[in-house]
Amino acid sequence: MQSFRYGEVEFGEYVIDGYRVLFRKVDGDRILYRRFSGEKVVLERIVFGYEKIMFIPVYPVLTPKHVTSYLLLEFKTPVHIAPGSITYVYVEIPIDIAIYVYRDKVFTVLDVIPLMEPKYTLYGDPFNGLIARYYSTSIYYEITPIRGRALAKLTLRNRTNEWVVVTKLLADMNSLKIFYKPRTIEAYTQELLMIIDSPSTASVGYGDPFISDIVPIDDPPELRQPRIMLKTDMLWGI
Amino acid sequence: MQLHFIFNETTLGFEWLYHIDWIRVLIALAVFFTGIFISLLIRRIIYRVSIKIMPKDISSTLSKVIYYVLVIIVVISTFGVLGVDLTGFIIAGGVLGIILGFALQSVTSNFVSGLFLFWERPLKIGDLVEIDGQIGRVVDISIMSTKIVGLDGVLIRIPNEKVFQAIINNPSKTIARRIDFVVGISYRSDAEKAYNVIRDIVLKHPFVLVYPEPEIFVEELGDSSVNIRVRVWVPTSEWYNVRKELLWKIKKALDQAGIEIPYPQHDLWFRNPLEIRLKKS
Repeated sequence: MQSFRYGEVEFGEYVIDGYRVLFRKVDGDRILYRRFSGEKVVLERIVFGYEKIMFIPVYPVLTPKHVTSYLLLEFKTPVHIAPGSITYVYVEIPIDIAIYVYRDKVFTVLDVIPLMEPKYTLYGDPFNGLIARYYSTSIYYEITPIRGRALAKLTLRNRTNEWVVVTKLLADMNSLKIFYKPRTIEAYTQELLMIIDSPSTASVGYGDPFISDIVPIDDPPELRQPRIMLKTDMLWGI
Repeated sequence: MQLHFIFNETTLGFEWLYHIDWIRVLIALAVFFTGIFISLLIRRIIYRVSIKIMPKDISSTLSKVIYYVLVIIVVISTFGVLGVDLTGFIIAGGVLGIILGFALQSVTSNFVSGLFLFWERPLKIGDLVEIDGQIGRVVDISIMSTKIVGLDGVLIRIPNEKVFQAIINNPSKTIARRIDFVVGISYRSDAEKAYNVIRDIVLKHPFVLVYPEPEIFVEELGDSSVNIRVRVWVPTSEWYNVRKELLWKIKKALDQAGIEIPYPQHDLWFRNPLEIRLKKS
């Protein structure tokens, strides 16, 4: 029994949080995949014609059902920012572990394993707002890889003439990109830039990766990136 | 200009041609063909513009109706240029209009209601709605009627006039919806324990939203039970499933915790002492 690492999978058994997964070669090109919760098989698949199988960190909006592409991070520690100033912090982004099967660069998602009990929230009002995956994050001041989470660098720029308190961040998973370091448990996103326009509104932009030697994931079909990167407006509180 | 010079006395039987004002005929023809051309052009423009914002059948019908109205105006204008007295036509048209108006009253009403429904957009295909007491998912909105498939899988056609006048309950228009129910526990049971059991189930469910925060509180000390009110918000798309799951999980968890959900109880008081006679068989 091994602990998982991002990247290519060897045959055998792995422990992923509360689950155990098994890859067994049946014969020739065929393999059997099983996910266990305790002794109970919760998912079983037979794969034929694969080239490689990989553990990939994916966006936390696919389980238990894809109902939104947004993530709302609530900061455990609110950040006060002086008028006209700029600062940065690191925040956690929850991730799930997906099992990708490749053949000639074409892939399918065999399974998505949730690493925590997901929760959702309403951002805004029921008529104009949006549903988002909810996560309460700690604030970090330096790069701190966390098992089962991706780390995002968040630059906060206060364009107003008054002090503002930032307690949350809204991110669109269609614009966010996840990266990982092969053969480690380190996952990252690109740098996020939150421009605060008023004490209650802001816009979130999506920049470049802030660390080297990382590989971008192939986005699942539900969350392909738009050709033009759009900003995410936070209109119902920051 | 009258074309007297073309004809001579030998052209017997064609004298009426002398009286035709050919200039006026040419003008009338020009008005007619130009009018028809412009009407066709307007029809095409209206169709192309409306197809971007309306369903195909509504765009097609709308452009046709406007086209036929324009054609009628062109024909009347052409007769006007020719100097034809249209009083008789107008009277006949008026009578015909009244007859058609009565005959096609419901058709016209449905058509106009369809247009208004389209502009107002109280529902769209795929919405789960309640119209006039009928609950179902909208599968088609045409110019004359709206079709929904009921929860039992039966297709229901509702004329647009009725849809327009009905109170439409459309939860699909909002992204989040509240689930509201009461759990009654017996006076013998531990109310605090029951509260914690319900709270745990509610907070653990992924689709019970963190904000707006769930509300769980004792609403009433009822005749037979302590009534605990549960109010939670969920994504509208998950409302039905979450409601089913929550009620089932709460019932199971309360049973496991030994908390009783009581039957309604009544204390009966008898004015006179009650005698019970037992018969020996």
